[in-house]
Amino acid sequence: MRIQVVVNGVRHDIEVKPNLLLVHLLRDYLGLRSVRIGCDTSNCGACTVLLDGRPVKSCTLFAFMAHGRSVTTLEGLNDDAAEAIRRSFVEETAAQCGYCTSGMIISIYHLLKSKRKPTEEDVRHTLVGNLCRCTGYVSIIRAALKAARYVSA
Amino acid sequence: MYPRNFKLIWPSSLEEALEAVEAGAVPLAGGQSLIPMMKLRLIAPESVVYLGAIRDLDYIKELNDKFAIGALTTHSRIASELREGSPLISKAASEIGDVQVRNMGTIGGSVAHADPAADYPAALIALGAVIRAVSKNGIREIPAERFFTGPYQTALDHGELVMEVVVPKTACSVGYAKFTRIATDFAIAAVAVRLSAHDGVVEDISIGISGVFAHPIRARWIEDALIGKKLADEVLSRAINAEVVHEVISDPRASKEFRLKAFRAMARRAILEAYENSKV
Ligand SMILES: Cc1cc2nc3c(=O)[nH]c(=O)nc-3n(C[C@H](O)[C@H](O)[C@H](O)COP(=O)(O)OP(=O)(O)OC[C@H]3O[C@@H](n4cnc5c(N)ncnc54)[C@H](O)[C@@H]3O)c2cc1C
Ligand code: FES
Ligand code: FES
Repeated sequence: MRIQVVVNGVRHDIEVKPNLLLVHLLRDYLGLRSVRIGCDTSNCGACTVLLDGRPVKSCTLFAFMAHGRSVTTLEGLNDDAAEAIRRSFVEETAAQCGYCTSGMIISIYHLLKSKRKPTEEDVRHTLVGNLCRCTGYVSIIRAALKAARYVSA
Repeated sequence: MYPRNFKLIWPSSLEEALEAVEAGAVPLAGGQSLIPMMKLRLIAPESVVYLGAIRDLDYIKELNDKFAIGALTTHSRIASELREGSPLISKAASEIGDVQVRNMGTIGGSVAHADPAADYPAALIALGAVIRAVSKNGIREIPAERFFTGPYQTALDHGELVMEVVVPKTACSVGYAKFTRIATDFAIAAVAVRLSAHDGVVEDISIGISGVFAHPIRARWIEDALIGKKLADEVLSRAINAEVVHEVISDPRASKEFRLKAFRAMARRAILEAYENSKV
């Protein structure tokens, strides 16, 4: 089927097989390698992208489900909020192997966009669907809260 | 993991979707249960009809004494938009999986999938909700209490789709308690309660349970033991600890004995939450 989809602001008109998953469209056809395949079983959130501005797991969507909609990956996040999250991740050592990081940033970005002053509870609730096997989460939560302070400062 | 390829049907109306389903196509809504199953090749449908193409099944309509929720309405939307109007269904929606799953998954998909441990069924049973199913022959109403018939089995017939879920408005107070080992997970035991009390005496109560038995059920044996009573500790304990005649599930996440304990703890928590709410 032919789909029209806007990815990181760029319009694409692509022929896809029905069984093509969104994560493969993004990585293999469009070269957006920030999108990671972690578990491939809908559990880890490493493949998280924004669909019409909301976080979804791109390994659990067929590419055709993005038809007529917009998709944003880490490559497409370039505003102050995204910069604040990147900076606080570095400062708080919130990435070790980095495998979960793109998904984490996407989820935190969405939280900061929908809530100006999130609490620690908000951050924990937001990250339920993003697993990290390295950091133990504490540094990630700290980074998210710090990014929120940078944004509202 | 790639699902096997399939023929995709992109319907432009509900009628077209019903025709496809009648002819054997598998409906796809948010994909949060179907796609994982297709990736694991637990199922490999020949053809799939994408309900997401029918945008007019995504709605929450407020009628006089009820809310009608379109099958394609996401868990996120239900959680946020019904927080005031129907706090029990909103709470159940907000307990599902994680943000990402709630942004895609739909109420129609959840009830049709009928996971014995899903969150909505307990709430729908406690609220006395009705599932409205549609087929080429018209619309049929099925009370939630009779909709879930077995693990992943429902009262839907071949060729039927869930069209909407109708939730009565209620002045009763409500409670919801869910036990899981991992935050994103399905319930080991979930209990939903709707209750009204006068001067501390329970006048009416209905209790829905998910996760504990082969399918979600209504706990009439507990309700009967509480109606007309004040919820003193020994009254509540006797009701909750009464012998359970239904077969309790055992699986790698929880043994039968552990699950029964979790169920009793969640029942106590949900009933007391509703009871406390009834006093304010
Ligand atoms: C990581 C993860 C965690 C989860 N945790 C929970 C949880 O804690 N609690 C919980 O309740 N659920 C949980 N779920 C399941 C989630 O709620 C799904 O969204 C839901 O079960 C299916 O809804 P869907 O719209 O995604 O349906 P789909 O996956 O598209 O479809 C599911 C099934 O229903 C059929 N179907 C879909 N729509 C209709 C319709 N309108 N009429 C008839 N048949 C239809 C499909 O053919 C398919 O068989 C979880 C899922 C994941 C991936
Ligand atoms: S790769 Fe998509 S959730 Fe893990
Ligand atoms: S930094 Fe390694 S998985 Fe999160």
